[in-house]
Amino acid sequence: MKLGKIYISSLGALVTIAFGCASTPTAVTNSTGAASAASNTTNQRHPDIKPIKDSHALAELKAMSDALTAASTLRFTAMALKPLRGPNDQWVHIMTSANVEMQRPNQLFISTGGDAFPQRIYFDGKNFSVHATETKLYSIQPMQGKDIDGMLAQASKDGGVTFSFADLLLKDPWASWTHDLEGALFIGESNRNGEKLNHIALTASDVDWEIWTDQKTHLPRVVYVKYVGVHRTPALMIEFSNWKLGTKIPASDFSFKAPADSKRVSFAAPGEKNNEKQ
Amino acid sequence: MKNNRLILLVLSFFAVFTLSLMAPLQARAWGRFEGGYHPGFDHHFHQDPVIVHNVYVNRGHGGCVGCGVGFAAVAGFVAGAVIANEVAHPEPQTVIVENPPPQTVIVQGPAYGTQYAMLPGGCVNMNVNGATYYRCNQFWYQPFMGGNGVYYTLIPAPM
Repeated sequence: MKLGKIYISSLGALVTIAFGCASTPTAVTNSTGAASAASNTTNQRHPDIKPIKDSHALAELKAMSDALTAASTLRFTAMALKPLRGPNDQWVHIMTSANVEMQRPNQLFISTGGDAFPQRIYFDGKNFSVHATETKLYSIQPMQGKDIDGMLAQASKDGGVTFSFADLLLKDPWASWTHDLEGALFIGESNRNGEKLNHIALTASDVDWEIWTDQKTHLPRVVYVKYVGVHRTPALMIEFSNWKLGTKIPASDFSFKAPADSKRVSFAAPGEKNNEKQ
Repeated sequence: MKNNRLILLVLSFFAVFTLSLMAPLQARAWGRFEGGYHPGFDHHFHQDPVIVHNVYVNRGHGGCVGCGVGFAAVAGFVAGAVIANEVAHPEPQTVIVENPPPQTVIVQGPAYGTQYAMLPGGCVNMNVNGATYYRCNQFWYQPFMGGNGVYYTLIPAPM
């Protein structure tokens, strides 16, 4: 019986810990553990956020989602200020750039630069290939049958790969943005060096985000995200430019041909044991 | 006794179930979906992670911003300048210094399996049995792709 009591006590403690962890809205680690930098997570949202959902803001958000999903192809440039945790736990930002080409439902090309590691990423509906152009290494990960949503999930799970602009690539951004939306405000018209934008602010349990959309096209021009559930509230800012919708993109842009001077290596999430497959 | 065993069985089941709830939460994004971006994800940036805007190079290792994220070993998630030093100048895997008996001091270097976001200097690209490695003095590294960059795992010399 003593043993039973010990187990019951232990279980109680375990459940408390587990539910405590699970209900913390801020644990942004992923299965790779690569996001451990964001694991200090105890900032709780102030409980008095008013759950206002302005129909004008929701309409603008829907218009943006519709503009994105109506296009069979997308091209854009994303310049981002991405938060990284420094050794003193301060969030510092790096400036990254990405040129993106996408064709629904399952083709994608991304070229990264700026402070980001320079690489070219290809998804042709069959394989997810990454080519590190300067180190002359590449990986090819089979992803037969997956659409872009599936590819994003698989690339994150298998290799810890994520994209700050990935929300725009989903087949239904509206559903993703609204399923746990707690607030939506239409802030008003914004004048960005003569360009007229609509400014909306949105909130969910652990994220506050604002979007400035082009009044004519409803495409996003600037996104500013505050991860209010993460300690010291890191922020992400992305500026979108060079939008081209519905233009023809050659299939060759999405398919990777390994250069003769590059070597194939495995694809794995940092922090996990390399699977050593090549 | 039977009751105790039953209690143990049931509680073990609940313990396993409960532990499964403690698994890392799903990645979160400014929208919400599997595979979305979340802050702090990128360990890897710039082609030379030591150099963050060229500022920190001349500041030594103390307080180096780049050292904490791009330059650190990944496995074990140890960040900081100490690890940065290890990357730049890897210590021998195991150094045994024998003092006059009976004292023996063992100093451990980085362990096999430790992952780095960059290689130390002076590495040579090697092909062994069709696989790509880097040999840096007496150390061998196996590259792999992931986490928005190339990483290098410290390994024993391939046979």
